Amino acid sequence: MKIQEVLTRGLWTENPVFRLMLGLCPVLATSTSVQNAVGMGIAVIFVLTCSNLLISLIRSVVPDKIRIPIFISIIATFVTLVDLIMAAYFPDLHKSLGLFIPLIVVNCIILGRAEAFASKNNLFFSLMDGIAMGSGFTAALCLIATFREILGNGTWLGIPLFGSGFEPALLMILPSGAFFTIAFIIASLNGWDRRRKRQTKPSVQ
Amino acid sequence: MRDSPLFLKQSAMRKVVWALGPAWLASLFFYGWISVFMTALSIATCAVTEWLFVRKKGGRISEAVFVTAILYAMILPPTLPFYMLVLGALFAVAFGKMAFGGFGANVFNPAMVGRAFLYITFPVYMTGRWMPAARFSDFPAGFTAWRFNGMEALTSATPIHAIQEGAGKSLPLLKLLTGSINGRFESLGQTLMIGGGSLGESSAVLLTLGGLFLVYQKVAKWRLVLSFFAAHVIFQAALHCLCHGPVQDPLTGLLTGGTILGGFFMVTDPVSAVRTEKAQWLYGSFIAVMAVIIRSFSLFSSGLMFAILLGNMFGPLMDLGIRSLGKGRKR
Repeated sequence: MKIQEVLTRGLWTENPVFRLMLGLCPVLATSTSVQNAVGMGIAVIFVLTCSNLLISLIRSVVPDKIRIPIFISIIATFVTLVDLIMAAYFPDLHKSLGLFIPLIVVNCIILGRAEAFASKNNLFFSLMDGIAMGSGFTAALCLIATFREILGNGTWLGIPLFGSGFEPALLMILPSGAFFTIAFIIASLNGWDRRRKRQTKPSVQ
Repeated sequence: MRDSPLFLKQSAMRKVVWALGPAWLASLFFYGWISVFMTALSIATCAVTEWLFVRKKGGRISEAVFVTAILYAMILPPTLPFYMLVLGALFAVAFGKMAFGGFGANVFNPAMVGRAFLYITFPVYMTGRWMPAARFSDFPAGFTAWRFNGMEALTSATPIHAIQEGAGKSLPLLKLLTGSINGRFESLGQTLMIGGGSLGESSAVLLTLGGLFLVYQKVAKWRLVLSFFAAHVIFQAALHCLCHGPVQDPLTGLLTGGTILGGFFMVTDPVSAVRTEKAQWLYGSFIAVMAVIIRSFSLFSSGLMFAILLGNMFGPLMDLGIRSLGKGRKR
Protein backbone atom coordinates (compact mmCIF):
# COMPACT_ATOMS: atom_id res chain seq x y z
CA MET A 1 0.00 0.00 0.00
CA LYS A 2 1.19 3.44 -0.88
CA ILE A 3 0.82 6.54 1.19
CA GLN A 4 -0.69 8.47 -1.74
CA GLU A 5 -3.39 5.84 -2.02
CA VAL A 6 -4.37 6.26 1.62
CA LEU A 7 -4.52 10.02 1.22
CA THR A 8 -6.48 10.18 -2.03
CA ARG A 9 -8.89 7.56 -0.75
CA GLY A 10 -9.94 9.67 2.20
CA LEU A 11 -10.09 12.92 0.33
CA TRP A 12 -11.56 11.77 -2.94
CA THR A 13 -12.19 8.21 -4.08
CA GLU A 14 -13.73 7.09 -0.79
CA ASN A 15 -14.81 10.45 0.54
CA PRO A 16 -16.97 9.59 3.55
CA VAL A 17 -19.79 11.98 2.69
CA PHE A 18 -19.94 12.04 -1.09
CA ARG A 19 -18.84 8.49 -1.91
CA LEU A 20 -19.62 6.31 1.09
CA MET A 21 -22.52 8.51 2.29
CA LEU A 22 -21.58 7.98 5.91
CA GLY A 23 -22.31 10.36 8.75
CA LEU A 24 -25.04 12.25 6.89
CA CYS A 25 -26.91 13.12 10.08
CA PRO A 26 -24.23 15.46 11.50
CA VAL A 27 -23.68 16.78 7.97
CA LEU A 28 -27.32 17.84 7.75
CA ALA A 29 -27.30 19.44 11.13
CA THR A 30 -23.97 21.25 11.16
CA SER A 31 -23.69 22.49 7.59
CA THR A 32 -26.01 25.46 8.04
CA SER A 33 -23.02 27.81 8.24
CA VAL A 34 -19.38 27.55 7.25
CA GLN A 35 -18.28 28.39 10.78
CA ASN A 36 -20.19 25.44 12.22
CA ALA A 37 -18.86 23.23 9.46
CA VAL A 38 -15.24 24.12 10.17
CA GLY A 39 -15.72 23.62 13.92
CA MET A 40 -17.37 20.25 13.42
CA GLY A 41 -14.76 19.24 10.86
CA ILE A 42 -11.83 20.02 13.16
CA ALA A 43 -13.46 18.11 16.00
CA VAL A 44 -13.91 15.10 13.74
CA ILE A 45 -10.35 15.26 12.41
CA PHE A 46 -9.00 15.32 15.96
CA VAL A 47 -11.15 12.46 17.20
CA LEU A 48 -10.61 10.35 14.09
CA THR A 49 -6.83 10.78 14.06
CA CYS A 50 -6.39 10.10 17.76
CA SER A 51 -8.70 7.12 17.86
CA ASN A 52 -7.13 5.63 14.74
CA LEU A 53 -3.70 6.06 16.31
CA LEU A 54 -4.61 4.45 19.62
CA ILE A 55 -6.60 1.62 18.10
CA SER A 56 -3.77 0.82 15.73
CA LEU A 57 -1.37 0.74 18.69
CA ILE A 58 -3.41 -1.76 20.70
CA ARG A 59 -4.77 -3.75 17.75
CA SER A 60 -2.76 -6.87 18.57
CA VAL A 61 -3.90 -7.08 22.19
CA VAL A 62 -7.61 -6.37 21.71
CA PRO A 63 -9.68 -9.59 21.89
CA ASP A 64 -11.79 -9.93 18.78
CA LYS A 65 -15.07 -10.49 20.59
CA ILE A 66 -15.11 -7.27 22.56
CA ARG A 67 -13.41 -5.01 20.07
CA ILE A 68 -16.47 -2.82 19.39
CA PRO A 69 -17.01 -1.76 23.03
CA ILE A 70 -13.30 -1.06 23.32
CA PHE A 71 -13.29 1.06 20.17
CA ILE A 72 -16.35 2.96 21.35
CA SER A 73 -14.84 3.75 24.74
CA ILE A 74 -11.63 4.97 23.11
CA ILE A 75 -13.61 7.19 20.74
CA ALA A 76 -15.81 8.43 23.59
CA THR A 77 -12.72 9.45 25.53
CA PHE A 78 -11.48 11.68 22.75
CA VAL A 79 -14.94 13.08 22.09
CA THR A 80 -15.24 14.05 25.75
CA LEU A 81 -11.86 15.77 25.46
CA VAL A 82 -13.02 17.75 22.41
CA ASP A 83 -16.33 18.57 24.04
CA LEU A 84 -14.72 19.97 27.19
CA ILE A 85 -11.98 21.86 25.32
CA MET A 86 -14.53 23.42 23.00
CA ALA A 87 -16.79 24.37 25.90
CA ALA A 88 -13.84 26.03 27.63
CA TYR A 89 -12.28 27.92 24.72
CA PHE A 90 -15.00 28.30 22.06
CA PRO A 91 -18.24 28.55 24.02
CA ASP A 92 -20.19 30.12 21.13
CA LEU A 93 -19.26 27.40 18.70
CA HIS A 94 -19.93 24.80 21.36
CA LYS A 95 -23.38 26.22 21.89
CA SER A 96 -24.29 26.25 18.21
CA LEU A 97 -23.01 22.72 17.57
CA GLY A 98 -24.78 21.58 20.72
CA LEU A 99 -25.59 17.90 20.89
CA PHE A 100 -23.67 17.07 17.73
CA ILE A 101 -20.31 17.12 19.48
CA PRO A 102 -21.18 14.28 21.92
CA LEU A 103 -22.84 12.50 19.02
CA ILE A 104 -19.47 12.15 17.28
CA VAL A 105 -19.11 9.06 19.50
CA VAL A 106 -21.65 7.23 17.41
CA ASN A 107 -20.57 8.76 14.11
CA CYS A 108 -20.26 5.83 11.75
CA ILE A 109 -17.26 7.30 9.94
CA ILE A 110 -15.08 7.03 13.03
CA LEU A 111 -16.17 3.57 14.10
CA GLY A 112 -16.02 2.49 10.47
CA ARG A 113 -12.39 3.58 10.08
CA ALA A 114 -11.47 1.96 13.39
CA GLU A 115 -13.03 -1.32 12.35
CA ALA A 116 -12.04 -1.34 8.69
CA PHE A 117 -8.67 0.31 8.74
CA ALA A 118 -6.98 1.09 12.07
CA SER A 119 -7.49 -2.36 13.54
CA LYS A 120 -5.71 -3.92 10.56
CA ASN A 121 -2.96 -1.45 9.63
CA ASN A 122 0.17 -0.09 11.21
CA LEU A 123 0.57 3.11 13.16
CA PHE A 124 1.72 5.39 10.36
CA PHE A 125 -0.93 4.38 7.84
CA SER A 126 -3.65 4.64 10.49
CA LEU A 127 -2.52 8.13 11.38
CA MET A 128 -2.53 9.16 7.73
CA ASP A 129 -5.91 7.52 7.16
CA GLY A 130 -7.38 9.43 10.10
CA ILE A 131 -6.08 12.74 8.78
CA ALA A 132 -7.18 12.02 5.22
CA MET A 133 -10.66 10.79 6.11
CA GLY A 134 -11.16 13.62 8.59
CA SER A 135 -10.07 16.20 6.03
CA GLY A 136 -12.30 14.62 3.40
CA PHE A 137 -15.23 14.91 5.79
CA THR A 138 -14.34 18.50 6.64
CA ALA A 139 -13.95 19.48 2.98
CA ALA A 140 -17.31 17.95 2.11
CA LEU A 141 -18.95 19.64 5.06
CA CYS A 142 -17.47 23.01 4.13
CA LEU A 143 -18.55 22.67 0.51
CA ILE A 144 -22.13 21.91 1.50
CA ALA A 145 -22.11 24.67 4.10
CA THR A 146 -20.81 27.17 1.53
CA PHE A 147 -23.79 26.59 -0.74
CA ARG A 148 -26.24 26.57 2.12
CA GLU A 149 -24.93 29.65 3.87
CA ILE A 150 -24.61 31.74 0.71
CA LEU A 151 -28.05 30.85 -0.64
CA GLY A 152 -29.88 30.55 2.63
CA ASN A 153 -28.39 33.44 4.54
CA GLY A 154 -26.57 35.61 2.01
CA THR A 155 -23.30 35.35 3.94
CA TRP A 156 -20.09 33.33 3.87
CA LEU A 157 -18.33 32.73 7.18
CA GLY A 158 -20.59 35.44 8.55
CA ILE A 159 -19.53 38.04 5.95
CA PRO A 160 -22.50 39.49 4.05
CA LEU A 161 -21.98 38.94 0.32
CA PHE A 162 -24.98 40.70 -1.20
CA GLY A 163 -26.70 44.00 -0.79
CA SER A 164 -29.98 44.45 1.00
CA GLY A 165 -31.88 43.44 -2.15
CA PHE A 166 -30.95 39.80 -1.68
CA GLU A 167 -33.76 37.61 -0.48
CA PRO A 168 -32.37 34.59 1.39
CA ALA A 169 -33.91 31.27 0.40
CA LEU A 170 -35.02 29.84 3.73
CA LEU A 171 -35.29 26.35 2.28
CA MET A 172 -31.50 26.06 2.12
CA ILE A 173 -31.16 26.50 5.88
CA LEU A 174 -33.78 23.82 6.55
CA PRO A 175 -32.74 20.14 6.47
CA SER A 176 -34.36 19.66 3.05
CA GLY A 177 -31.91 22.23 1.68
CA ALA A 178 -29.04 20.04 2.88
CA PHE A 179 -30.51 17.03 1.12
CA PHE A 180 -30.87 18.99 -2.11
CA THR A 181 -27.30 20.28 -1.87
CA ILE A 182 -25.84 16.84 -1.18
CA ALA A 183 -27.87 15.33 -4.01
CA PHE A 184 -26.70 18.02 -6.41
CA ILE A 185 -23.04 17.55 -5.49
CA ILE A 186 -23.17 13.75 -5.66
CA ALA A 187 -24.99 13.88 -8.99
CA SER A 188 -22.41 16.22 -10.48
CA LEU A 189 -19.54 14.08 -9.13
CA ASN A 190 -21.09 10.96 -10.65
CA GLY A 191 -21.70 12.74 -13.94
CA TRP A 192 -18.11 13.95 -14.01
CA ASP A 193 -16.83 10.44 -13.25
CA ARG A 194 -18.92 8.92 -16.01
CA ARG A 195 -17.74 11.45 -18.55
CA ARG A 196 -14.11 10.86 -17.59
CA LYS A 197 -14.51 7.09 -17.88
CA ARG A 198 -16.06 7.47 -21.32
CA GLN A 199 -13.15 9.61 -22.46
CA THR A 200 -10.36 7.36 -21.18
CA LYS A 201 -12.01 4.11 -22.25
CA PRO A 202 -13.55 4.32 -25.71
CA SER A 203 -16.54 2.01 -25.61
CA VAL A 204 -15.78 -1.52 -26.77
CA GLN A 205 -18.41 -2.70 -29.20
CA MET B 1 -54.04 18.53 -36.35
CA ARG B 2 -50.53 17.71 -37.48
CA ASP B 3 -48.19 16.08 -35.02
CA SER B 4 -45.61 18.62 -33.99
CA PRO B 5 -42.01 17.48 -33.59
CA LEU B 6 -41.59 19.57 -30.46
CA PHE B 7 -44.77 18.89 -28.53
CA LEU B 8 -46.49 15.72 -27.46
CA LYS B 9 -50.18 16.03 -28.27
CA GLN B 10 -52.46 15.38 -25.33
CA SER B 11 -56.08 16.30 -25.89
CA ALA B 12 -57.06 15.84 -22.24
CA MET B 13 -54.53 18.42 -21.22
CA ARG B 14 -55.82 20.83 -23.83
CA LYS B 15 -59.29 20.53 -22.31
CA VAL B 16 -57.92 21.48 -18.91
CA VAL B 17 -56.47 24.63 -20.44
CA TRP B 18 -59.88 25.51 -21.90
CA ALA B 19 -61.55 24.83 -18.56
CA LEU B 20 -59.17 27.18 -16.80
CA GLY B 21 -59.85 29.93 -19.33
CA PRO B 22 -62.79 31.75 -17.72
CA ALA B 23 -61.19 31.97 -14.27
CA TRP B 24 -57.96 33.09 -15.85
CA LEU B 25 -59.72 35.86 -17.79
CA ALA B 26 -61.31 36.93 -14.53
CA SER B 27 -57.87 37.29 -12.99
CA LEU B 28 -56.96 39.60 -15.86
CA PHE B 29 -59.94 41.76 -14.95
CA PHE B 30 -59.23 41.65 -11.21
CA TYR B 31 -55.50 42.29 -11.23
CA GLY B 32 -54.48 43.59 -14.66
CA TRP B 33 -52.09 42.48 -17.40
CA ILE B 34 -49.63 41.36 -14.78
CA SER B 35 -51.67 38.18 -14.68
CA VAL B 36 -50.99 37.57 -18.37
CA PHE B 37 -47.32 38.29 -17.94
CA MET B 38 -46.96 35.99 -14.95
CA THR B 39 -48.69 33.17 -16.80
CA ALA B 40 -46.54 33.69 -19.89
CA LEU B 41 -43.38 33.74 -17.82
CA SER B 42 -44.43 30.57 -16.03
CA ILE B 43 -45.25 28.79 -19.31
CA ALA B 44 -41.93 29.82 -20.85
CA THR B 45 -39.92 28.70 -17.84
CA CYS B 46 -41.69 25.37 -17.47
CA ALA B 47 -41.52 24.55 -21.19
CA VAL B 48 -37.83 25.43 -21.46
CA THR B 49 -37.00 23.44 -18.32
CA GLU B 50 -38.78 20.37 -19.65
CA TRP B 51 -37.15 20.81 -23.07
CA LEU B 52 -33.70 20.87 -21.45
CA PHE B 53 -34.45 17.50 -19.89
CA VAL B 54 -35.98 15.75 -22.90
CA ARG B 55 -33.67 17.34 -25.49
CA LYS B 56 -30.93 14.73 -25.47
CA LYS B 57 -33.19 11.74 -25.79
CA GLY B 58 -35.08 13.32 -28.67
CA GLY B 59 -38.24 13.38 -26.59
CA ARG B 60 -41.00 15.92 -26.96
CA ILE B 61 -42.41 18.40 -24.49
CA SER B 62 -45.65 17.08 -23.01
CA GLU B 63 -48.65 19.38 -23.17
CA ALA B 64 -49.16 18.61 -19.51
CA VAL B 65 -46.40 21.06 -18.79
CA PHE B 66 -48.64 23.90 -20.00
CA VAL B 67 -51.36 22.85 -17.61
CA THR B 68 -48.78 22.74 -14.84
CA ALA B 69 -47.50 26.18 -15.79
CA ILE B 70 -50.95 27.81 -15.96
CA LEU B 71 -52.14 26.20 -12.74
CA TYR B 72 -48.92 27.20 -11.04
CA ALA B 73 -49.29 30.83 -12.10
CA MET B 74 -52.91 30.86 -10.96
CA ILE B 75 -52.07 29.82 -7.40
CA LEU B 76 -49.48 32.53 -6.83
CA PRO B 77 -50.06 35.91 -5.22
CA PRO B 78 -50.23 38.69 -7.83
CA THR B 79 -47.53 40.64 -5.99
CA LEU B 80 -44.83 37.96 -6.26
CA PRO B 81 -41.48 39.18 -7.66
CA PHE B 82 -40.89 37.69 -11.11
CA TYR B 83 -37.58 36.01 -10.34
CA MET B 84 -39.25 34.04 -7.56
CA LEU B 85 -41.91 32.92 -10.00
CA VAL B 86 -39.21 31.72 -12.41
CA LEU B 87 -37.34 29.95 -9.62
CA GLY B 88 -40.46 28.17 -8.43
CA ALA B 89 -41.43 27.12 -11.96
CA LEU B 90 -37.93 25.78 -12.54
CA PHE B 91 -38.11 23.82 -9.32
CA ALA B 92 -41.62 22.55 -10.05
CA VAL B 93 -40.68 21.01 -13.38
CA ALA B 94 -37.11 19.94 -12.61
CA PHE B 95 -37.74 18.39 -9.19
CA GLY B 96 -41.48 17.87 -9.17
CA LYS B 97 -41.61 16.17 -12.55
CA MET B 98 -38.42 15.48 -14.49
CA ALA B 99 -36.44 14.14 -11.52
CA PHE B 100 -39.07 11.41 -11.18
CA GLY B 101 -38.83 10.48 -14.84
CA GLY B 102 -40.96 13.03 -16.69
CA PHE B 103 -44.60 12.98 -17.70
CA GLY B 104 -46.61 10.17 -16.20
CA ALA B 105 -44.04 9.28 -13.58
CA ASN B 106 -44.32 12.20 -11.19
CA VAL B 107 -45.55 11.28 -7.73
CA PHE B 108 -46.47 14.84 -6.82
CA ASN B 109 -48.47 17.45 -8.65
CA PRO B 110 -45.69 19.67 -10.08
CA ALA B 111 -47.65 22.92 -9.70
CA MET B 112 -48.13 22.16 -6.01
CA VAL B 113 -44.46 21.27 -5.62
CA GLY B 114 -43.51 24.66 -7.07
CA ARG B 115 -45.85 26.49 -4.78
CA ALA B 116 -44.75 24.56 -1.70
CA PHE B 117 -41.13 25.32 -2.57
CA LEU B 118 -41.85 29.05 -2.77
CA TYR B 119 -44.01 28.90 0.34
CA ILE B 120 -41.16 27.50 2.40
CA THR B 121 -38.35 29.43 0.73
CA PHE B 122 -39.88 32.91 0.62
CA PRO B 123 -42.66 32.82 3.21
CA VAL B 124 -43.06 36.59 3.46
CA TYR B 125 -43.72 37.00 -0.26
CA MET B 126 -46.08 34.05 -0.37
CA THR B 127 -48.19 34.88 2.65
CA GLY B 128 -47.86 38.54 3.52
CA ARG B 129 -48.51 40.52 0.35
CA TRP B 130 -51.81 40.53 -1.46
CA MET B 131 -53.82 42.86 -3.64
CA PRO B 132 -57.52 43.54 -3.36
CA ALA B 133 -59.33 42.43 -6.49
CA ALA B 134 -61.04 45.00 -8.70
CA ARG B 135 -64.69 45.91 -8.10
CA PHE B 136 -67.14 45.43 -10.90
CA SER B 137 -67.93 49.14 -10.81
CA ASP B 138 -64.29 49.76 -11.77
CA PHE B 139 -64.81 48.38 -15.27
CA PRO B 140 -62.66 48.06 -17.40
CA ALA B 141 -60.29 47.75 -14.42
CA GLY B 142 -57.52 45.25 -15.18
CA PHE B 143 -58.23 45.05 -18.90
CA THR B 144 -56.53 48.39 -19.38
CA ALA B 145 -54.00 48.40 -16.56
CA TRP B 146 -50.65 46.72 -16.01
CA ARG B 147 -51.31 46.19 -12.34
CA PHE B 148 -54.77 47.28 -11.33
CA ASN B 149 -55.01 48.29 -7.74
CA GLY B 150 -58.24 50.17 -7.27
CA MET B 151 -57.72 50.58 -3.57
CA GLU B 152 -54.12 51.71 -3.88
CA ALA B 153 -52.96 49.31 -1.25
CA LEU B 154 -50.96 46.21 -0.55
CA THR B 155 -52.47 44.11 2.13
CA SER B 156 -51.46 41.23 4.30
CA ALA B 157 -54.88 39.66 4.59
CA THR B 158 -56.19 36.85 2.44
CA PRO B 159 -59.92 36.19 2.55
CA ILE B 160 -59.34 33.32 5.01
CA HIS B 161 -57.21 35.49 7.24
CA ALA B 162 -59.72 38.34 7.12
CA ILE B 163 -62.58 36.07 8.09
CA GLN B 164 -60.56 34.60 10.94
CA GLU B 165 -60.01 38.13 12.19
CA GLY B 166 -63.73 38.69 12.18
CA ALA B 167 -64.27 40.47 8.88
CA GLY B 168 -67.15 38.26 7.91
CA LYS B 169 -69.58 41.15 7.66
CA SER B 170 -67.55 43.19 5.18
CA LEU B 171 -67.12 40.12 2.99
CA PRO B 172 -70.54 39.15 1.67
CA LEU B 173 -71.06 35.81 0.02
CA LEU B 174 -71.59 37.41 -3.36
CA LYS B 175 -68.01 38.71 -3.39
CA LEU B 176 -66.65 35.29 -2.58
CA LEU B 177 -68.75 33.75 -5.30
CA THR B 178 -67.74 36.12 -8.08
CA GLY B 179 -64.17 36.52 -6.88
CA SER B 180 -64.28 40.30 -6.72
CA ILE B 181 -62.86 40.15 -3.21
CA ASN B 182 -62.01 43.48 -1.65
CA GLY B 183 -63.08 45.74 1.16
CA ARG B 184 -61.74 46.67 4.54
CA PHE B 185 -62.17 45.45 8.06
CA GLU B 186 -61.22 46.41 11.60
CA SER B 187 -58.75 44.34 13.55
CA LEU B 188 -57.20 45.40 16.85
CA GLY B 189 -58.12 48.99 16.14
CA GLN B 190 -56.55 49.04 12.69
CA THR B 191 -58.33 49.23 9.40
CA LEU B 192 -57.01 46.52 7.12
CA MET B 193 -57.63 45.78 3.48
CA ILE B 194 -58.85 42.43 2.29
CA GLY B 195 -56.80 40.92 -0.53
CA GLY B 196 -58.20 38.75 -3.24
CA GLY B 197 -55.86 35.83 -2.68
CA SER B 198 -53.95 34.05 -5.43
CA LEU B 199 -54.34 35.08 -9.06
CA GLY B 200 -56.86 32.54 -10.19
CA GLU B 201 -58.35 31.08 -7.05
CA SER B 202 -60.94 33.73 -6.30
CA SER B 203 -63.77 33.37 -8.76
CA ALA B 204 -65.79 30.46 -7.40
CA VAL B 205 -68.46 30.58 -10.09
CA LEU B 206 -66.11 30.54 -13.07
CA LEU B 207 -63.90 27.85 -11.55
CA THR B 208 -66.92 25.67 -10.88
CA LEU B 209 -68.02 26.19 -14.47
CA GLY B 210 -64.62 25.07 -15.77
CA GLY B 211 -64.51 22.20 -13.32
CA LEU B 212 -67.93 20.89 -14.31
CA PHE B 213 -66.85 21.05 -17.95
CA LEU B 214 -63.89 18.82 -17.06
CA VAL B 215 -66.10 16.35 -15.21
CA TYR B 216 -68.55 16.34 -18.13
CA GLN B 217 -65.69 15.68 -20.54
CA LYS B 218 -64.50 12.84 -18.27
CA VAL B 219 -61.07 14.43 -17.94
CA ALA B 220 -61.63 14.80 -14.21
CA LYS B 221 -62.92 11.69 -12.47
CA TRP B 222 -66.26 12.50 -10.88
CA ARG B 223 -65.56 10.23 -7.91
CA LEU B 224 -62.57 12.33 -6.92
CA VAL B 225 -64.48 15.60 -7.26
CA LEU B 226 -67.57 14.35 -5.44
CA SER B 227 -65.70 12.68 -2.59
CA PHE B 228 -63.49 15.72 -2.12
CA PHE B 229 -66.28 18.28 -1.92
CA ALA B 230 -68.64 16.06 0.04
CA ALA B 231 -65.99 15.19 2.61
CA HIS B 232 -64.91 18.82 2.80
CA VAL B 233 -68.40 20.08 3.57
CA ILE B 234 -69.36 17.26 5.92
CA PHE B 235 -66.13 17.24 7.88
CA GLN B 236 -65.95 20.99 8.19
CA ALA B 237 -69.59 21.18 9.25
CA ALA B 238 -68.99 18.54 11.91
CA LEU B 239 -65.90 20.28 13.22
CA HIS B 240 -67.66 23.64 13.08
CA CYS B 241 -70.39 22.32 15.36
CA LEU B 242 -67.98 20.58 17.74
CA CYS B 243 -65.42 23.35 18.19
CA HIS B 244 -66.47 26.49 16.40
CA GLY B 245 -63.59 28.61 17.61
CA PRO B 246 -61.01 28.16 14.86
CA VAL B 247 -63.17 26.27 12.38
CA GLN B 248 -65.12 28.30 9.81
CA ASP B 249 -68.56 27.32 8.61
CA PRO B 250 -68.49 24.86 5.69
CA LEU B 251 -69.67 27.35 3.05
CA THR B 252 -66.90 29.83 3.79
CA GLY B 253 -64.42 26.98 3.84
CA LEU B 254 -65.56 25.97 0.41
CA LEU B 255 -65.27 29.45 -1.04
CA THR B 256 -61.90 30.48 0.39
CA GLY B 257 -58.38 29.10 0.33
CA GLY B 258 -58.54 27.88 -3.25
CA THR B 259 -60.74 24.94 -2.30
CA ILE B 260 -62.69 25.03 -5.57
CA LEU B 261 -59.60 25.40 -7.74
CA GLY B 262 -57.89 22.60 -5.82
CA GLY B 263 -60.89 20.31 -5.80
CA PHE B 264 -61.55 20.49 -9.52
CA PHE B 265 -58.07 20.91 -10.95
CA MET B 266 -55.47 19.63 -8.46
CA VAL B 267 -57.10 16.66 -6.77
CA THR B 268 -58.12 15.30 -10.18
CA ASP B 269 -54.68 15.55 -11.78
CA PRO B 270 -54.68 12.28 -13.74
CA VAL B 271 -51.00 11.56 -13.12
CA SER B 272 -50.67 12.06 -9.38
CA ALA B 273 -54.16 10.90 -8.35
CA VAL B 274 -55.08 7.31 -7.54
CA ARG B 275 -56.23 4.91 -10.26
CA THR B 276 -58.67 2.41 -8.76
CA GLU B 277 -62.28 3.44 -8.24
CA LYS B 278 -62.58 2.63 -4.55
CA ALA B 279 -59.29 4.33 -3.80
CA GLN B 280 -60.61 7.46 -5.49
CA TRP B 281 -63.29 7.82 -2.82
CA LEU B 282 -60.66 7.40 -0.15
CA TYR B 283 -58.20 9.77 -1.83
CA GLY B 284 -60.66 12.63 -2.29
CA SER B 285 -61.96 12.49 1.24
CA PHE B 286 -58.47 12.08 2.71
CA ILE B 287 -57.31 15.30 1.05
CA ALA B 288 -60.46 17.14 2.13
CA VAL B 289 -60.11 16.06 5.76
CA MET B 290 -56.42 16.94 5.87
CA ALA B 291 -57.09 20.32 4.26
CA VAL B 292 -59.72 21.23 6.83
CA ILE B 293 -57.54 20.11 9.73
CA ILE B 294 -54.41 21.91 8.54
CA ARG B 295 -56.26 25.08 7.67
CA SER B 296 -58.13 25.25 10.95
CA PHE B 297 -55.56 24.15 13.49
CA SER B 298 -52.14 25.11 12.13
CA LEU B 299 -50.31 28.28 11.22
CA PHE B 300 -50.48 27.48 7.52
CA SER B 301 -53.55 29.00 5.99
CA SER B 302 -52.94 27.29 2.66
CA GLY B 303 -53.77 23.90 4.10
CA LEU B 304 -55.05 22.53 0.84
CA MET B 305 -51.58 22.66 -0.71
CA PHE B 306 -50.07 20.46 1.99
CA ALA B 307 -53.14 18.25 2.00
CA ILE B 308 -52.81 17.60 -1.73
CA LEU B 309 -49.11 16.84 -1.43
CA LEU B 310 -49.90 14.44 1.44
CA GLY B 311 -52.59 12.86 -0.69
CA ASN B 312 -50.13 12.44 -3.57
CA MET B 313 -47.74 10.79 -1.15
CA PHE B 314 -50.25 8.25 0.16
CA GLY B 315 -52.09 7.77 -3.13
CA PRO B 316 -50.03 4.82 -4.40
CA LEU B 317 -50.46 3.11 -1.01
CA MET B 318 -54.23 3.50 -1.24
CA ASP B 319 -54.22 1.95 -4.70
CA LEU B 320 -52.10 -0.91 -3.48
CA GLY B 321 -54.22 -1.44 -0.38
CA ILE B 322 -57.51 -1.49 -2.30
CA ARG B 323 -56.09 -3.90 -4.86
CA SER B 324 -54.74 -6.31 -2.28
CA LEU B 325 -58.04 -6.18 -0.35
CA GLY B 326 -59.87 -7.16 -3.52
CA LYS B 327 -57.49 -10.03 -4.11
CA GLY B 328 -57.83 -11.26 -0.55
CA ARG B 329 -61.57 -11.46 -0.86
CA LYS B 330 -61.46 -13.49 -4.04
CA ARG B 331 -59.23 -16.09 -2.48
